[in-house]
Amino acid sequence: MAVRIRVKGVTVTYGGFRALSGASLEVGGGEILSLVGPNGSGKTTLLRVIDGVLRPRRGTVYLDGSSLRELPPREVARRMGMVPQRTPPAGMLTVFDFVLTGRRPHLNLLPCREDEEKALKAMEEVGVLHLAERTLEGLSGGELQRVSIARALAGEPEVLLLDEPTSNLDPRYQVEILELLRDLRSKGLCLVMATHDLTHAYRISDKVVVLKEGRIFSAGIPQEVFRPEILSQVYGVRLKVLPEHRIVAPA
Amino acid sequence: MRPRGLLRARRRRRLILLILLLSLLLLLPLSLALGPYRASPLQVLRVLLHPDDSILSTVVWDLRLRRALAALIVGAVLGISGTAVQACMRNPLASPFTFGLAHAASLGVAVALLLMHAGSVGRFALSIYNPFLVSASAFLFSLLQVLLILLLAHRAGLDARALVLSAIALSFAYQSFLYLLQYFVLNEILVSTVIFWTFGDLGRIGWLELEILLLSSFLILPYFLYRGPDYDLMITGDELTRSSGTSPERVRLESVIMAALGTALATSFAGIIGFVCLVAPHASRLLVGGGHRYLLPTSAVMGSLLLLLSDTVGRTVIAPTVIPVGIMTSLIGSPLLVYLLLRGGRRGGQD
Repeated sequence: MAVRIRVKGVTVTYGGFRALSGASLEVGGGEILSLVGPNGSGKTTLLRVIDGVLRPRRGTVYLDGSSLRELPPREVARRMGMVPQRTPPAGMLTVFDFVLTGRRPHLNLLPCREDEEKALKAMEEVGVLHLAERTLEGLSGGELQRVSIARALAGEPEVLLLDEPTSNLDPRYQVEILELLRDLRSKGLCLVMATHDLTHAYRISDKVVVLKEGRIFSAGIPQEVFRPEILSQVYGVRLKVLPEHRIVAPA
Repeated sequence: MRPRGLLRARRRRRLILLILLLSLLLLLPLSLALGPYRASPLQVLRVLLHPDDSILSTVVWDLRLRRALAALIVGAVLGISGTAVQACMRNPLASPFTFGLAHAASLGVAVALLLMHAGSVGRFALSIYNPFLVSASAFLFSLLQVLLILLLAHRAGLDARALVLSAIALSFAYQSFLYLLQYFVLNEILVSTVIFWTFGDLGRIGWLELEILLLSSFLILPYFLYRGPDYDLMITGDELTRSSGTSPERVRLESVIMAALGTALATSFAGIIGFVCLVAPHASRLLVGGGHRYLLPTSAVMGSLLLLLSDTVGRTVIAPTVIPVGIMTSLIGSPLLVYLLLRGGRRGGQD
C-alpha cells in the first residue's frame, strides 16, 4: 500500500521538556498502526502532531507526500479525522449536532441535506443512531466514545487518528470497536491509534511503534515488537506474551 | 434512514421559533397601542398606515414606534451576541458585558460630561446639551476597552481564560478611573448625570441612531448565524475545533469584535441594558437545546421579545413615569434567570 502518512524526525518540546525526540514512522492506506508505550511516552503528542494541531519544533509530517505545513488546515481536516481520548460532554449539544460538526471541514456555509445524511450514515455505522436526540452530557463513557468515532467518520476521512479508542468501553463494545476498525482498514482507510491495550494492539495492528520517553524504542510488525525483553525494558515490569497474542502482567 | 425522533425534534424547534416570532408580531401592535395617550389598536393602525398631523400620529410614530423598533433591533443583537460569546468563552455566565463595556462606556460618559461640558442634570431631568458627544465618547471608550482586551489576550494566547482575565483586570482599571474622576473632579450633579445615564433607556435612541443600529445589525446577525457550526465545535474545546480545520482564536477574535460592536453601539446610544444578553441565551437553550443552528436565531428573537416586553411594561406600569428599560430588564430578567436555573438544574451550564 502507498504511504499516506510519513513522519520524519519530529521533535516537540513543551517549555524545556522534550515530549518527542526525532520520531519517524510511515503508515499506508489499509493499514493499522498502533502507538504503544507507558504514560507520558509521547503517544498523544505524536497523534496531535500528525493531526496538524501541534506544530513540531523540528521535523515534518507528510500527508500523501505533501508537508502539513504547506497544506491549508481545512484541507488537512477534510482528509484526517481525530477521535480524542476524552470528548468533552459539551453542554446541551445533541449527539446528532455533535456528529454533524465532523462535517465542518467540508462546509461552505451551513450543513446541507447531504451533510446530514453522511452524519446519520456514520452514526448508523458505529451503532449510535438511536442516541441521535440525546444530549452529550447524558451519555455513558462508552457511548461518548462511539459518538466521537461517528463524528470523525462523518467527515469521510482517509486517515483516522484514535487516542485510546477502547479505554472507556466494556468488553462487548471493545470487540465491536475493533471490528469496526478492521472494517475501516479493509475499506482502505489509514488508521493510527494510541493504546495501552497491548493485546488489542497485537491482534489488530499491521505495524506497532513503541515509544519510551519521547523516543521510538522499537518499531515493526507486532511479532517483532511484542517480545518480552522489549516490553519489560519499556514498561519496567516483566510482561508475558501468551499464545493467541495475549500480553499479560504476571499476577 | 432518518430517525423519527430527529425529525420530531427539529419540527418542535421550528415550531418554537415560529411561536416566538408570532408573539413578537402580536406584542408589537400591542406595545404601540399601550401608553398614557390612550387610543384603540384600530386608531393606532390607522395613523400607522396614514400618518397625519394629529397628536396620536406623533405619539405613535415618533415615540412608540421608534422605541419599539429600537427594542427589536437592540434586543436581537444583544440576545444573539450573548449566545455567541458564551460559546466562544465556553462559559454560560459570559456576555458582551463581561468585557467591561459597561464600565468603559460609563467612563466615556464621565469624560464627555467633564472635559467637554456635554450636559448636566436638573432636579427631575437629565439635560445633555450634546447627546452625540456623549454617545461618541461612550462608544470610543468601549471600543478602546475591547481593543485593549484583545491586545492583552492576544499576547496571552487568545484563549477563553486569557480573555476573561484581561477583561476583569481592565474593567477594574476603568472602574477606578471612573471613581477617581468622581472623587476628585466631578461635582455631585455630574456624578448623578453619569449614574442617570447608565440606566439604559430606549427613548434616547433617535431615528439616526436607529439607522446606525439597523445597519450594524445587518452585519452582526448574519455573521453570527454563519458561525453557528463553529460555535457547535467551540463548545467542545479548542483542540477539536483546530482539528476540524477552524482556528478557534480567529472565531473568538471575530465574534468578540462583532459582539462588542453591537453592544457598544447600543450602550452608547441607550445606556446600559445588561440582562438581555444573559437571559435570552439561557431561556432559548432550554427551549431549543444547545445546537447553534436553532439556538442563535431563537436567542435573537427571544432578545427582541424580552426587551420589547420590558420596555412596554416599563412605559405603562406607572405611567406617565417611565421606568428605564435597563432597570426593567433586570427586574424581569433576574426572576426568570433564577427560574431557569432551578428548572434547568445542571443542564443550564456548558462547562
